[in-house]
Order: sequence, then C-alpha cells, then structure tokens
Amino acid sequence: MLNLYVVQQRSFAAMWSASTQKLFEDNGKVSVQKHRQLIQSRVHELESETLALKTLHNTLSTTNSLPPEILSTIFRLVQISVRRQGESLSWIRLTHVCRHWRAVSLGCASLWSQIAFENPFFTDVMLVRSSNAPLNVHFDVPSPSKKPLAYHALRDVLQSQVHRLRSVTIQSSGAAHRLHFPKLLSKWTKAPILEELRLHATERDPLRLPFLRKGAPSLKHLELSGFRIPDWMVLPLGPNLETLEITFSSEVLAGEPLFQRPTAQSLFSTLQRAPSLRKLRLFSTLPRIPTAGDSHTTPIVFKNLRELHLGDTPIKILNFFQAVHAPQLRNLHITFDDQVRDTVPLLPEFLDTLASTRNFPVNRRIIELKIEHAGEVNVHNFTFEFAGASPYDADDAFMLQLSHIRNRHEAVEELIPIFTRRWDISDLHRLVVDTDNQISLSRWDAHFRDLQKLQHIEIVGDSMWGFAFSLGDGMEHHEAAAGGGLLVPFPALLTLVVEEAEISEDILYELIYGLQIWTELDTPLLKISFGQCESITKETYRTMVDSLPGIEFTWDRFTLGDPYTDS
Amino acid sequence: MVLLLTSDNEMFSVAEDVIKRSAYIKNMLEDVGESDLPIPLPNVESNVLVKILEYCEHYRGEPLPASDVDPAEIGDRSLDIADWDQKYMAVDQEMLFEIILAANYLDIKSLLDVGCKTVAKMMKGKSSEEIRTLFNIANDFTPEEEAQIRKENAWAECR
Repeated sequence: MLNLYVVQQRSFAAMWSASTQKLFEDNGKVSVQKHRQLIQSRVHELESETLALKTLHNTLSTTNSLPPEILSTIFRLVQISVRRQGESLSWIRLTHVCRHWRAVSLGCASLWSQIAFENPFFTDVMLVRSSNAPLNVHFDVPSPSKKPLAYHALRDVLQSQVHRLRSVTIQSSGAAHRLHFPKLLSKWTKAPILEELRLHATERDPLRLPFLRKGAPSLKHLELSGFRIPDWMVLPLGPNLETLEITFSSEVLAGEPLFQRPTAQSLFSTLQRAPSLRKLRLFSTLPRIPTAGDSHTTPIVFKNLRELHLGDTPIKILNFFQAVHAPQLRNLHITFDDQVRDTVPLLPEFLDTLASTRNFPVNRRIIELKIEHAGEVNVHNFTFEFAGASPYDADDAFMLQLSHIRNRHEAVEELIPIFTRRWDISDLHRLVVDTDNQISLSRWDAHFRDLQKLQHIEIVGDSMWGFAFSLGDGMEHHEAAAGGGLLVPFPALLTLVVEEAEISEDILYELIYGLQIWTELDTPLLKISFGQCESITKETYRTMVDSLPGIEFTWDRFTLGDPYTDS
Repeated sequence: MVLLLTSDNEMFSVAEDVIKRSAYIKNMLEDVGESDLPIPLPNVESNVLVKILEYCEHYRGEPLPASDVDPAEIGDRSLDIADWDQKYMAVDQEMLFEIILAANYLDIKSLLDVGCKTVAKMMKGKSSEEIRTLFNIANDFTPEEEAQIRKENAWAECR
C-alpha cells in the first residue's frame, strides 16, 4: 500500500523543480540526517527565491517607479500630518511595507531627525538613524507611567545632542503631567545651531535661572507660554532673534494676585537685546504701571519690527504702543483681554489714541475690510488693510486686526460707523463679512452699495439678504431715476463669493432681478461662486445660470459643463 | 507657441505662457531662445502631457512659485489640497504616478507638490498591509527583518 508521502509526490511532481524532485528521489538513498540537511537547505533556497521574486514583483509597483527623493518627500508629508494629529509614530508603518520602502526611509536622515519620546528605546534608534542631520525635538508630556523614562530621554537629548539641535518644542499639558521646567532648563547651557525654541508650561512655572547661558547664537524664534518670569534677563535673546512670543493667560492671571508682570524698564531693556526682532507677540505680559502717556518720553525704537500682536487690557496696550516706535510696522494685531466684558464703549477713545501714536499709518484709506465672528456670542474680529503711502508698493500696506471686540448690547453692524467715521473707505476694494450677526439692508446701502472701487465681496453666513436687497433696491431706484444721477449699486463688482449662506427663494429672486438689470449696464464681467450653501439645489442653480447668461457661476457641488462634476 | 514632442512621437503646440509653469521648459526657452524646432520630451507620453497641459492651462496667469523653493524642503506643509486639484488628481493610480514623474521631470513644483500630497493622503492612516494591497506590493522582508519590524511596531504602539 502506498503511503501518503508517495501519493503526494506523484500528484505534485510535475509542479516541482528538478532540485526538489531530486530530494524525493534521494529518499532512502542517503542517511536520514543527511536527507534532513538537504531538505532544510532546499527550504532556505526556496525561501530566498520567494523573497527575491517578491522583490522583483515590487519593482512593478507604481510607487517604486518614483525616485527615492520623491518617495521620501511623501513619507515626510505623512509624518508631519500624523504628528499634527498626535499620532507621532504611526508613520513608522511606512517603513514596514517592503524592503525598498524601508531602504528609502532608512536613507532619509531627515525622516528620523524628528525626535519623538513615546518610547526611549525608539528615541535612541531615531538618534542613530538621523545620522548627523540637525534635530527637531518635539516633546509632549506622555502618560504618567511613561513620564520618568521620557523625561530622562529628553534631558539626555538636550545635553548630548546640543551640537545638532535645530528646533525644540516642549509642551507640558495638564497639571497632572507637569514637567519640572526650571530643573530641565538650568542644565541646558548651549545650543549652537538652535533656531527655534518653543516652551509651553502648565502655567506658573517660574523662570528664575538663565538657560542657554553659553549661547544660542542662531536662535531666530523663541516662544514661551505659561511661565512666570520674575527676571526677564534670563531669556536667551540675541542678535539673530526675529520672532518673540510670550504669553500668559488672563484667566490664570485673574486668580494669581502674586503674578509679577514685568516693569516697563525690565521689559523694554529685555526687548532691546533683540535688535533684529521682526515679529513680537505679547499676551497678558505688558507692564502694569504706565510707561507712556507722556508724549515727551523718548520712545524705544524697534527698527526692524514688522508684526506686533498685543493681547491685554486696552489701557496697557495703549501704554505699550505709545512707548515704542516701530517705523517698519506693517501688521498690528490687538486682542482685547477676555476679562474686559464690553469693549465697545472703550472703542472710540481707544481708536483715537491708537491713531494718534507715531506707529499708526498716516494714510487712513482702507482698501480691505473683514468682519468676522470670533466664535463666541457677540464677539467679533475686525481686520483692516490700509493702503500704503505709495500706490505701487503693496509691501507698504498696513494691516490692523482688532480681535475679541465684545458688544453686549449692540449688533455687529452698529460697530461699522465707529470705524467709517474715522477712516476713509471710499477706496475699499475687498469686503469680507463672515458672521451670522446680520448686516442689514440699510447698512449695506449706507456704507458699501455706492463704493466705486469695491471689486470683491465675500459673504459667509447670514448677510446675503441685506446684500441682495441692497442690490435689488438700488437697481430699482436707478431704473426709476432713468439715469437721473443715481449711482449703479456695487458698480465695480468683479467677484462675489457666497459661503454657508441660506439662499431663500426671496433672496434668489431679488438677486436675479438686481443682477439682470446690473449686467445690462456698463458693468464689469462678474463671477459668482457658491460654497457649502446647503439651500441651493441643482434646479435653483440652473435657474440662476439660465437667467444670468452674462455671469460666470461656480458652485462647489458642480460646475455646468465640467466633466468632473456635471454628469 | 512652443512645440513639444512626446516620447510616443506626438507633437503639441502650446502657448508659451501656459508651458512656462514648467521650470525645465522655461529655462530651456531662455537658454535657446526662439526656435521652430520641437522640444523633445523623451520621458513624457502624450496622454500624460495632455493632463499636464490641463493643469498648466488651469493655472495660466497665476504667479509662478518662487524658484528657490526646494520641493524636498517640507517645512510645515499640511496635506490640504485645493478642490480643483483634488478633482484633477482623481485619476487611476498609474496616471497619478505618471503625472508625478512628469511634474518632476518638467520641474513643475506646484504640481509635484499636489501629487506628493495626494499619494501621502492615500497612505495616511493605513496599516502596512493595507498599503501593500493599495499599491500591489508584496511583503519581501526576511524573517530577521520581520522580527526587527515587530519590535519597532511594539515601540511605536507602546505609549
């Protein structure tokens, strides 16, 4: 009777290679031990062949047609994206796909130079694989059980890799997982190529001892938040520092009576140690005692400062702003302190004082205006772009942002006259209204309808009604006057962008009515785009397109005639 | 107009301001000057060039990216892709990679960037096995390499 072994041999023999077939034929002809060795050796051969064939198969994959530098770029994009989502090591799966991908990733030092601390062993692996590439260190305090090991790994990296630290971010999140920053930083004495340093403490950590005292000559960006800074001279500022951000939260300040704001002298003498400063952001850290108000005081000059973001109470902001002179300032962002419950009554005087300082542009012609809801009820942000002194130099324009304007009683549209009374909007060419707090028909009429240079309007939210009826009524009056001197509404309009707006039937028909007449006049070629407007259907969209053949429409759902969407 | 000759011997006549989005062609035109001779593109087939020209035509008139931007310099880029670019990149995998290779060859940085981001988005959030399936890749690691990979996975997941 044939045994199973022999049956199998006969059934599959035709599929086997000669080498394997021979092993079957050798059965009983050599010793068992020798036969076993021969089989094992053949198994290894076959395994190697299989892997080689798989590698050959992989050369046909579309991804492997890419040059290694492009594949590495793709890996880096995935890495950055997942790190932003807090899964800092999940990108490692890319290196586990096949031998080619692994070889490419291991050859890309910059992929491994983004040092993570989830696992100290892996931190060591990354340090080795990053070769001599400059390091970017990002430390988020891990779970309490992992904290001691990760902390030691961080401390070791800060001490042993000083020569190649390019960027360091340390984030201490939540009181339960606090880092002991003073101890950590006091041992960190130098960083020759460090360009960016971001330290975010869990509020109140004191910075008393100087850190990086042997120098961080390349430091360009320093960001500190949540620290108490009893002595501002400890900060590692230097000649190359371009960005300085120091923030403290006003809520914590309110419950922290012993918190020491810097004196005007310590703050300004500190800032003067950074003569290249281009961007300065100070939140809840301005001096308590006024330094200015006296116009005879010699101002502190920041000759390279182009961007200034101050977040504090109105009086402290004005004090600071009056004490400095920043001749190159082009972007001023003011955020009113959350503790100030109603900023609207303060606004007129605040704006007048602000505009009287030497840092405010002489030219008060606004060319862009953005009104934006700040995420809380009755809190808005306003952004103004003032035309530069020279019409040919766009770089000369001045941006003013006023954030967290709280108005307890008034609608946002009531704030518009506060600005238009002070500044000239006759040159306005771009207007963005992004709020559910409506701008009414009368406000559109009074402020925007007759502007001769207003080319771009973007409406996000519920102000479409006011615009549509301002246009429709304006056209009706223009028609009724039969050219009797009444202006065409929105005469320069080139683009209208409508997003997240409710387009009801009456808005739709008012818009079509107004635009039908508007396009028959000597008006520019208009483009209208709709995005995320749930109330628009294909039918209403077609109605608009068919009724207004002179206008170019787009809609994020589809474009008529577009092979991608109109099918 | 500029004449382009693809690898499959198809001739394309393209407006200069359209094709100048390709730094390769732009530099060539600047170096060689006006010429009636076609520029050979031995690495680009006609069907791919049609797609590339669709992209260049769409962005006609828009400012070219700064020439000193290195596409390999990732900086702080996100994987956000503009709506039109997403629709444009909704092609089969083979064409997607042909576009990336052509964008690289023709030195069209913005298109290369969109292509890389599109592939990165396809990979993001997937397991190694899912990625293998997606791109028709076989696991060709040796048992020893597999062991090292298992160890790395354990490190990566140990949080």
